[in-house]
Amino acid sequence: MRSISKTITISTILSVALILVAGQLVVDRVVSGWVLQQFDDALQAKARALVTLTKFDGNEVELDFADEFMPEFEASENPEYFELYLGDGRLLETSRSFGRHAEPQFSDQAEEVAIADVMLPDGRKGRRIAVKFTPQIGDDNEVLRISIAPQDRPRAILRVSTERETLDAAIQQFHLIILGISLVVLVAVMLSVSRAIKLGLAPLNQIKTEISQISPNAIDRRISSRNQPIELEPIATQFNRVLAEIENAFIREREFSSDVAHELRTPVAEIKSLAEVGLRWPDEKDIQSYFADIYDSSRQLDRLIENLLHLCRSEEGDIELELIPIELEEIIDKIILGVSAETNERNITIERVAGLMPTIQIDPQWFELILKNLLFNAVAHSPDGSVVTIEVISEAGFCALEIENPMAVPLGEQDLPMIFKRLWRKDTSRATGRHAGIGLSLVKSFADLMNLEVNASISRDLFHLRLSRIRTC
Amino acid sequence: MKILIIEDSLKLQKSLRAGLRRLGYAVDVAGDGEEGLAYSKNGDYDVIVLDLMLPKKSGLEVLREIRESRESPEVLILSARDQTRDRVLGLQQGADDYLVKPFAFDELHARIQALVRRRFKQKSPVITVGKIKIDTSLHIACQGADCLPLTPTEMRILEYLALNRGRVITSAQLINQIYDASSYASRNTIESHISSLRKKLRTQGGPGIIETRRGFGYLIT
Repeated sequence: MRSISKTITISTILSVALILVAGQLVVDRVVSGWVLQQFDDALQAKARALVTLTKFDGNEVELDFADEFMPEFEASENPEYFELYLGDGRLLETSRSFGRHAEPQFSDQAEEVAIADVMLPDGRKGRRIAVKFTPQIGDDNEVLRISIAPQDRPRAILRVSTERETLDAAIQQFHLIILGISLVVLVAVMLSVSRAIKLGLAPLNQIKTEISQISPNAIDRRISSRNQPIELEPIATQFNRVLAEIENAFIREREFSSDVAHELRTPVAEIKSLAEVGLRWPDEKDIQSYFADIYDSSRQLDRLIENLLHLCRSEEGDIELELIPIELEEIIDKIILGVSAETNERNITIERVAGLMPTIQIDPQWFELILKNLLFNAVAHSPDGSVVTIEVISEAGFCALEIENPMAVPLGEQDLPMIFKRLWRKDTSRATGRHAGIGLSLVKSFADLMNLEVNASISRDLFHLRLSRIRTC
Repeated sequence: MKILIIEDSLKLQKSLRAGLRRLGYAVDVAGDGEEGLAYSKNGDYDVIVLDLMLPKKSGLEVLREIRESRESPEVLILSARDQTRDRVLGLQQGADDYLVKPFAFDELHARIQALVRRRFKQKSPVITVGKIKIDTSLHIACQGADCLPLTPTEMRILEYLALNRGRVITSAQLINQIYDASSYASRNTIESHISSLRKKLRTQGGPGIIETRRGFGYLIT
């Protein structure tokens, strides 16, 4: 699994290591080059000194060399070497240090000054400078210097060699020092980066710990957004906001499940209890009423299950709409007829406000379900002997249907946002009435599906439900 | 034994009242929390079967007020709420038992019997008084293999006196315990039942286990 901490640590350390290696190479190269240059310059200076000691007297070339001034050319330990040749390759003179070793070998060269690594006669690694030059004529022989032009003088080649193992050892030591410093720096960087990342990621780890404590049983917990770094504060705030929404949804679902359980369990308990007692004491005096009660509870259960299924299907969008023209008046008549048993029993009058009843373009099945629930709701929550009003209002290309009823149990403005919630009841004990509180949530769900608008309002003691945006033909 | 059912479902009221009456209990029924509380304050109930989701006053509020009063009937919550937190809350508020709807009538009856035994500190459903064994679960009283032909009311009187063994029970207490609120019974009715009960006990060769404390009431020692 990927880790931010590991990624940052590894990439930082790799970057630093790369920079260190590159830096080491550059420094190494520059310093080694500079040291070698100094070495070569010193060698060249020594060669120049010998060149100035080489004179031409008109007949021959001589090296006016004295060992005591340059003892390094005769030392028994770590000696240096020089060879002086004429341009044609004849050896004129060598340093005494050659005496113990083989004769030098001449090789011509094109350049005036050539520096190269060589193997010294004593077997050590060395560095040699070869200078091609025209020997000077002594200052005391002015006539000769004037009479013999430089191009007429003989050419000579001086080769000076010295060992370079000390230089190589110094450069090697320098390499090791640089490498050591680099390693120390790398380890220090690793420790610093690791500590910095640990400190930097501490708030993230704190959030991780807090999140791990959030579970369905502890969904009310929140991430502390105080003292968060500026980068994490908006994340914590947004996370808490989302968590609050999830908690609300969770509570709604839990309440819904609990309410559904209650709505289902109660009629089942009624049916079961009536059946058990009826079977055990069939001579009970009002046993016939048990059958009616069982039938009534079964219908209640059937209606609830059907409504729940409709609600599930509409919320999942699992409904296909078939739009056809229908007469609004016909469908209203049909619905009024459907509630007539209850309205007659409770002496409730349904009044239609006279007006144009248009032909509408709608899915008749689901529109009927909406109207049925609207009217059932109005009748169910009206006091006995009251009047429920249905009014159709024409709009441009549309019509609206408004149902108005007096309230048996008064509702307040604060109740309006809850009206369309699933299984909402004014009576929080859910104890009264045969209505589970699912009808208006069905109305809302199907209205949304059919692009209709449904609104609830209260004026004086009347409750209004308005279904609008019904397309007319 | 006297039971109060506080339940808003008329159908459950009907079936529970009928079933429990058939099993020999005096049963009163209340349809909402306030009515139930009024009944519980005025009647001496052995067991209250209490729904939680009630109109006017919730079951938990009713329970709280019952527990605050001097009376201490056994309370069985009978609710559709099946979540653990509901059960825990109900029991923590002072309920003695919790049964979730839908329920088996026999289970409800068995739990009521257990609560009655607990109320009278009886581990066994059988109470032995002399040679008579009174089975409070089967509602029979037997001497050896012979069971007495008692009427339901006589059986209720015998059970109640046996459960309150050593205590003098007045006629008013017996009326309150044996009859529900809708029935009418007088002291003479009780005397008549006691007389009949004594006669049946003697007929079977049983001892006269019911004593009369004149001016006070009746007693099984």
